[in-house]
Amino acid sequence: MRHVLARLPQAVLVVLGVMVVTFFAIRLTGDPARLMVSLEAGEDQVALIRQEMGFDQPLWRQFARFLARAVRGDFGASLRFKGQPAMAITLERFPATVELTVTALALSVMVSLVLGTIAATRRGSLGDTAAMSLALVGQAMPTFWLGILLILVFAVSLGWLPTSGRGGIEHLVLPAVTLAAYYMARTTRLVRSCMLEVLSQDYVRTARSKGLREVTVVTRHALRNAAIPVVTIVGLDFGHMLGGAVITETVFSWPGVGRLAIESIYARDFPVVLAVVVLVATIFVVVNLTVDLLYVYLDPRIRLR
Amino acid sequence: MVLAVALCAVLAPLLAPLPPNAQDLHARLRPPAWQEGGSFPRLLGTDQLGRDIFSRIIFGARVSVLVGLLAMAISGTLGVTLGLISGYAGGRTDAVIMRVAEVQLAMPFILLAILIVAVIGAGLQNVVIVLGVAGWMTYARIVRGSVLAVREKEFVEAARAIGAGGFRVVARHILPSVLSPVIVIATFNVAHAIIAEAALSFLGLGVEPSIPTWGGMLADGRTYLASAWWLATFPGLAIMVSVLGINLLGDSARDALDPRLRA
Amino acid sequence: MTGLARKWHPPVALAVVLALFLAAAVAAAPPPPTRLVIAYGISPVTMDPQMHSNTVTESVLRHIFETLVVRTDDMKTIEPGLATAWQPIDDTTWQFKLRRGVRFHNGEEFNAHAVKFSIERAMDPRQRAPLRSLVAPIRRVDVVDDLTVNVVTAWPDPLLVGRFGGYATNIVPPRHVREKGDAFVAANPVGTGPYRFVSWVRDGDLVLEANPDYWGPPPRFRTVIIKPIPESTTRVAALRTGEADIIVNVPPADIPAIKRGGRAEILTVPSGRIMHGMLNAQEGPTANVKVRQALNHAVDVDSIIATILSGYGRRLATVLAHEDFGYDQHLKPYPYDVARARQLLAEAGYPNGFEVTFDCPKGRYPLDSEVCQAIAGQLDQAGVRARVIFNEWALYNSKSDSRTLGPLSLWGWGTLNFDADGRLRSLFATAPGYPRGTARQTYSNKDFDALVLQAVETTNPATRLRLYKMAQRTLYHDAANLFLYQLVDIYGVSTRISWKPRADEMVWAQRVAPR
Repeated sequence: MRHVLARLPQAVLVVLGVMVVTFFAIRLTGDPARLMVSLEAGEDQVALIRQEMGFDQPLWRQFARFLARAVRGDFGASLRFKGQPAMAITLERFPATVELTVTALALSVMVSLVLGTIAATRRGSLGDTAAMSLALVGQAMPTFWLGILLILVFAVSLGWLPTSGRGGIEHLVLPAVTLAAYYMARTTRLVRSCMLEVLSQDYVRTARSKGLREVTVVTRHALRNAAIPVVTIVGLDFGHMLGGAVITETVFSWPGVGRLAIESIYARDFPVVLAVVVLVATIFVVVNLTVDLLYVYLDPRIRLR
Repeated sequence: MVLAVALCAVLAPLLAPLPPNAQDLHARLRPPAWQEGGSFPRLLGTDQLGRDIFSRIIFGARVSVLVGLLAMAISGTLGVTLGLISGYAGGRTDAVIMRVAEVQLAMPFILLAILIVAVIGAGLQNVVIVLGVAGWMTYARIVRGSVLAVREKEFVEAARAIGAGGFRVVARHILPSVLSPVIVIATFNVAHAIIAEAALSFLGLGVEPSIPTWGGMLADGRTYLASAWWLATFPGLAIMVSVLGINLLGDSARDALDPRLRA
Repeated sequence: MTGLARKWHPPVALAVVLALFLAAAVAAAPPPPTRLVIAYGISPVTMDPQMHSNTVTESVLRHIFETLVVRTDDMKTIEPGLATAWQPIDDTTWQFKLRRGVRFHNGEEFNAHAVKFSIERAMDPRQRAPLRSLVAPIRRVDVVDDLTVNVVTAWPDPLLVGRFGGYATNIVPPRHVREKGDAFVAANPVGTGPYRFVSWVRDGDLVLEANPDYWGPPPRFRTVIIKPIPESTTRVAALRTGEADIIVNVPPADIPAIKRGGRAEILTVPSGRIMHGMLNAQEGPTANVKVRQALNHAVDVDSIIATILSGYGRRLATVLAHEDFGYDQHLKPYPYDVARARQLLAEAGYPNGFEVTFDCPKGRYPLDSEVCQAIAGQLDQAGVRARVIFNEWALYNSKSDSRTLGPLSLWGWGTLNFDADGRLRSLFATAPGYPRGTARQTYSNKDFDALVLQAVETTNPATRLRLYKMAQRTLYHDAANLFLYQLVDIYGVSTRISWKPRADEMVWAQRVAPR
């Protein structure tokens, strides 16, 4: 508990740090006023917007003004979605993103635990080879490639599933598989690798020599000890998927946070970009804290100092 | 396998049947030689500008493999070092490193890339820097987690008890036992960097469009995936072959470093 | 996690997957013919028709909102919309007669006050309408009676009536806007149009339903769904499966597959957007007119159109589109002639050519990166070594604003009114008093300036035509830019419906009929 409380001020610092870096990164690399009107609208129109929006003032002053309102939860109005509140637009996207992320993560974790464990316990077997080949494909196949391939096969040729958009569970299948593939491949290899490591340790040999059943040895002793890197990576993947499933969301036209972030960056819509990164940062802080607490649960000898 | 890819890269001008940038607009999107409409010497067909895909893949090996390996080296070195420090030192050091990681994790990669383009400009060297700097956090968190677990184990305690210095303990006892997950992360990092290089080209940070890269070929083939599958598929296969080689290399490196695994 | 692993059984997984597929098979049944689905590449940005400058948003919102006048599908004629007739009273005053008995979706009455309110809303600087420039010549709007308004301009404006055809001049309900405020209006549109708003998810579906009380021909579809599908391959897939009835921006390479599928056909229309290569006319080798002429001879635009664009493009002699008022069809484009190009380069003092940076956007215009690389390849044949650099759009514009673009850069330029003025004056005029359309243009010619400025202040069409012809010839001889082509919009359209595409990129369900 003490540890959780100690993290609070740190979390505030993280969010503040993210805001500073993001604000200046986005404002120093492009002119939002220029992108708010079409090219054909003319120079005077751009100059007018620059002046009316206060973009001509010193950047640090703009940031101070932004920050003063942001701490009260007001991130200002989106520039791309004219005049609509940035934070509301961002929060509106979270259900779609969470739906996709949780499905993909569950898929990835379940499949990789099974495949990875099989591969490690029967090293060199046909199962191992198959699992590792699958992991290789997932590792090297770009997300857009897999996504479009799935659309062409399951939507266009077979007609089983819709091509894109959000709706019922049938809309979720292809994007979830696509998003999960890369993470699944990596986690599978990680599980296998860590299991191999653990299975060669003395205490596993001891457990075996005590005559415990192999299944018990694997699930009770080995998996638990191999879990620390796996838990770490799954935590990171969760955060990543929430904010960065850009390609999957684009290919499947999924109205999620990743697409919102990227399109807002391209439009230099800084209120929305900041709203997104602040939320994602908060999620990372919470996830990392959870992972740290899980370490203690998995291995009670670990002390968090 | 790694050797074959390396040979490709070095001997590209000898191996490639055609110059990689020679355009022929009237022979664009030709399928591979074994399909109807394809012909030799354009073994793997032509791209959207009528350039020979086989030759471009051979030349592409030069930049892509280099970018993948160097980016991985930077991320890995940075991440493992910071992860070791973070996990071993704990306390305030740990907090600072992990919070910086969180800040960077929350920043979209594209924004980071745009920022670096604006500050240091484009070019091959900067591609490596961007991709290298972008990936250290995963290593750091994985290594730190493993260090936390190992730190309290008997053999480390023992080493500390007999008066081994901090560095010695880390290098001799902790590092080998966190290597296993690091190698997995590293092999994935290579493939990811090769593909991500294309995203940087899109931002104008990438290598010059006149230099063929696998990532760039993949990205250019994206809109042609339904109409001319060979544009994106062959560079994808090239990446897969190199990654397979790197995986095998990684596995043997781990086995060599960890004698207990030799069964 | 160990628990999960223990309880996990492959048969369960199989059953789940099977169930998913079954559910999907049921859901993917063909949509009823009372529904129309239109797929764009991007989402509309707001539901407030006066507060954007975005073609897709305008296209979408014109189901809900209407304007005083409407252009015909061929862009040539202006037809009645909410106004039934209009006439000039004097040089600076136009009178509009309004349609009787029209109501907004919330019951509010459409009348002269609604017109005055809407136009004044667009004119108000505090409103910050992105296309306020559209109403810039208007001084005031006078209500004559309930169904008559007089529009008074600050100077004689030959383009005035056309200005009431969309964007900032959409008609909004005064009471609704005043009472609910801009933020509410941006998400809850109320207009007079044939379709009413149901729901909108940003970057997701916009759902509309037929307006039973519409004053005009009754809407043909009960429901209209408008969705953004950014990935072109996915958009094409949605058309091929019947999930979408009309899709925009079909990549030429996907056309054969669509035609083979038999469920959809390809319709095209010349676009209002032209592509051109901006040249630095002030500094470096391209400051020399002979060099600029050489570049125009060195690029084989016809081949680029025939191959990369699969024929979906129209060669231009300058920057005016075929449909533009003032377009000179007698002016022939620079012929492709590498020998002539080399000769001109030698005359200009570059017998061995030179190196040049060619800045390009990527993914902004159809096939832009392919076109840039092809141009670079062709320039190379004439000895000009063009180094292509791709740019993210915002960075590209920043480079343009700070004048750090290379001597050659690729741009597209759209139009709101299909009139020579919009392109010629914005792109090339340098006279003081008139704001430049763009900061990046470096071309300047006093004769040209005089011609276009004179044209904008005369209302006689024959005189304007003559002035614009002379202006085009000046641009042509100065080789002010690398002149390229006019885009052709490519739509994929389901065989269930019949529809005719428009050059202004508007896709309106009210112009679609079920077959």
